[in-house]
Amino acid sequence: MTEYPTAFWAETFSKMIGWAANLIVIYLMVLRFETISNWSAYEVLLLYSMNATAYSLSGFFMYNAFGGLSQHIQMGTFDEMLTKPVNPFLYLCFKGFGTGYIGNLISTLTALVICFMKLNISLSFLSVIYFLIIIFGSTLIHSGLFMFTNIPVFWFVKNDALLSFRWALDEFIRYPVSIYDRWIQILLTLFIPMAFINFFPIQFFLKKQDFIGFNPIIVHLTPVIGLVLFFSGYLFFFWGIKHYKSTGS
Amino acid sequence: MLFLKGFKQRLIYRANTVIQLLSSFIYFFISINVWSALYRGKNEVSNISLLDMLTYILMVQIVKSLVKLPISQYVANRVTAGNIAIDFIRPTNIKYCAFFDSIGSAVFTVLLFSIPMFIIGSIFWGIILPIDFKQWLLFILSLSFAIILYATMDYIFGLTSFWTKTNYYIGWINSALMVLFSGSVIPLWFYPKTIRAIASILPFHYFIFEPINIFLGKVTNKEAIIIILSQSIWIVFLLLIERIVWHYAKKVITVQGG
Repeated sequence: MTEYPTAFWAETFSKMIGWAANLIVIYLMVLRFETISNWSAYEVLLLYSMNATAYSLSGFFMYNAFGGLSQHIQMGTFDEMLTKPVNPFLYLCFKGFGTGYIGNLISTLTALVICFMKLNISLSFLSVIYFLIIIFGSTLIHSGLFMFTNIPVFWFVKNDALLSFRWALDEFIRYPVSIYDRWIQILLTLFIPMAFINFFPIQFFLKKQDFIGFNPIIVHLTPVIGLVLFFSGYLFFFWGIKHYKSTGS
Repeated sequence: MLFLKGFKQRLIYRANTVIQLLSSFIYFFISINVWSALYRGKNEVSNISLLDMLTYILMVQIVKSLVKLPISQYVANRVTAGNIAIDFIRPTNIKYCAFFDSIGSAVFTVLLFSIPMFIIGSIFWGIILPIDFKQWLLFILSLSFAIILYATMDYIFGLTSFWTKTNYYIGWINSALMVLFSGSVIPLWFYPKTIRAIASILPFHYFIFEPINIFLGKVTNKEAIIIILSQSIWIVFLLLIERIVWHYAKKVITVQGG
């Protein structure tokens, strides 16, 4: 960051603009049609910015650590991590800590605040704490996704297909999950629980009841799902290391 | 020749192509769900029906892959890697290398994507192609002009890397402007008046929105000709700017690496 100030600011600023453009356009889309599946333009913007905030927060630690895993293994530089006398998981996360997501975070947090104000969501001290817990849970879900899409490189070296699949899934939860066919709703709730990142938990704050046939308790499950995904990702990582055979060099 | 090379390269990386195709299908599928949900309980919005809209998003995929060639990326990659030194002594212009190298792979994507998509589209959603010959001719003309116009603009974007020595920002800024003003996510019909006015001053709507507007027959022949004329004026204007930028870029070039 300090070595290349121009590059840092160019990156931060351009990412900020890029994400802001996506946020604005989704708002404009719903605005013209008033609602999508009974969600207003600001409510959809809130869905998107919540997902994007959780993704950015998780990206600070996870992007370099796991996004770069495939390359580390191909180049044979992963072996170095195993020689350090610390937990390789923590070593990876902290070594990879990057400032690349500051721009994204500025845009998404701005959008979050605007949505909360425009939707007149009254926040008491307790509900702010609760919202932070939810965001933490969503961040853990995104971190789990980073892990589960990248750790298979211990077995297969390449993971392009999994990554594109993940980006495609991310596109699904920009919109209320209730607009999709039943099988996609079930997929996003029970099998790849991405609906818990934004769609279910935000309904508690919006006082909505768009539970697509599930028990209303579902709005509170995000932190639990986050913890389960994160720790199973953690175990998956160590299982992966056990199977890891260096590519040499 | 370069065109065929780009085409063949795509055949070799078969796994990548399949993945790209699958994700295009998923994005298309999501768009269909989103627009159908938006149109629920409505017949027409701004004189546009759901069927028009489905044809529109299918055409966006095709037009976008032909127009959005990675020209700036090609140029900036060569600048940051230092290969640009070789390009200065080559007999061909780097602009044409970048263009023909990427158009081959774009045509490949379109052939592989558009034909199956139109078949699926017409079976499931009743998407129909225009039958008027004049409409096709005007569409192809404005699409070709859109390709040239975008390539010129993106080349100028790429040349800025001579000064900044990094290419990271170009893609982000470029795609932000495209998302907002080209009609690649929502057609300009649905924009509020002020934003539509801003968009129509900028060149971006000539890349995707206007060619499809012609394809769908939402403009008269006369309006279509005006669109094509405006595109050519923009091309001349940007070519002039490109000349000026290139003149100064040559002077600031520092070759990295060795």
